[in-house]
Amino acid sequence: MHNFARVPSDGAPYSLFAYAGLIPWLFVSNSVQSLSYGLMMNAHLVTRVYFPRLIIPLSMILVRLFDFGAATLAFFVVAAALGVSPSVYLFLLPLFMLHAAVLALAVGAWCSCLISRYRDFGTLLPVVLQLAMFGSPVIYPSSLVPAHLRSLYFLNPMAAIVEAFRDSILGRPFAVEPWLVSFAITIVLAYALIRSFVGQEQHAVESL
Amino acid sequence: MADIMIDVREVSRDFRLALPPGTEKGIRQWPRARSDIFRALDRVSFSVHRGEVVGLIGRNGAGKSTLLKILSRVLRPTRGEIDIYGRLGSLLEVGSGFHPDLSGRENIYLNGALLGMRRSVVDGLKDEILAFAGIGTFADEPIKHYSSGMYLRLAFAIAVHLDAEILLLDEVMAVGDEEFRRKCLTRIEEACRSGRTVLIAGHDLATLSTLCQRFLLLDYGRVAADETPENVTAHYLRLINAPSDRAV
Repeated sequence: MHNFARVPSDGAPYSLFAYAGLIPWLFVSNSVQSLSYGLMMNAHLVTRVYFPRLIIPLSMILVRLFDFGAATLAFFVVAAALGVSPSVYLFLLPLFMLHAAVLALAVGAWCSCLISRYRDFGTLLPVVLQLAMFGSPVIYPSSLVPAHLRSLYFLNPMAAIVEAFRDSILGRPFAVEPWLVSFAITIVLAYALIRSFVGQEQHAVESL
Repeated sequence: MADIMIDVREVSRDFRLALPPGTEKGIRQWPRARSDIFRALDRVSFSVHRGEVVGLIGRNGAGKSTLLKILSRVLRPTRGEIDIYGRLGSLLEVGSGFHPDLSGRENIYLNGALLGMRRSVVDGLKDEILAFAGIGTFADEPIKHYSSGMYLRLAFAIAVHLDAEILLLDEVMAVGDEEFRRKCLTRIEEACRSGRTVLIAGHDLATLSTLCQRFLLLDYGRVAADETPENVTAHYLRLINAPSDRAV
């Protein structure tokens, strides 16, 4: 099946196309969700012993990275079964995984401060993430986005991460420019969010 | 004087109280709604020297636990400053720093890590801790299945065995049985002899006065007395018997 509901898949079998998009997306989305409860889940530690609280999201993202790696390995089995072999672009994969991890860490850590102060935000987060998924080229290619909206579209750092991950895992040349933009956005965003986390963690912990 | 381990200068801590339910104030003045402030600590100053064992006493709500939490950096002071010279271990409430899903053994490593100790060092202390706690066959059972006595014994054993120069203990002997209490007392005395500094909060004045050379009495967040156990105990008993002048 090369085509599903007439969504183009840039040449690859649609099943592989969607799988390759879902791997990085689910990694980031699940990480943000689990990290956002990090401070709350560890309230018994954090309210009784002092240590740099950033350790909590950091350790959680490492666990998630294992999951990410396993899903990626499983991908190669499916790809082999469908006759798609990996190519030279694969060497870029770790870079994109790291990129996704930095973004997930920063967003997740920041959300954990927010959720320990305003619990209701936890109910809202899955909805926001679900909407964000449709704003990223997970189940459709970014080539579907009208040309005049593309620069706006790639302001979402996840868009280029998903695209770059998929291109490299499917052995296709990837578009450097959107990825560089996304990388720059991720660095700035991560810096701002982690700083905000460090500044707020004490307040967040005291309100647990 | 040299060898100051804990230095507390003019420390105050305010807590903002929740708005009563149904107050429109909370919505209309958001985010600037003013709630009442409870001052848990009010310009507390004192210092503790190396090897001193200080008993922290006071009525419920006097600020003992808040003070210990500030010293262990879990809470920040609203005003004032603290300086801690040395590695600090604390046992605030039963089961500080325990993870309920980890086993007793694993929690020893967790606590060691939180104190910044190397794995190899904890390896060496592990058996001694388990023996002291008398956990025996339950060492590999998740902590959440422990009885409160086992929980407390393990927590205390970890706190006194791990390599901390300053020890903060909050009402640690409330749950243990007589035998364990005696063990604790001996152990705390040993710790003091080896030059460790101990700050211990509690209500059991008789036990505390055998341990401590000095009592710090808190009342309504202020230092009401800071001298020998005998004098402070007398002061404290007067406070208790006096009619309450402020609702807490």
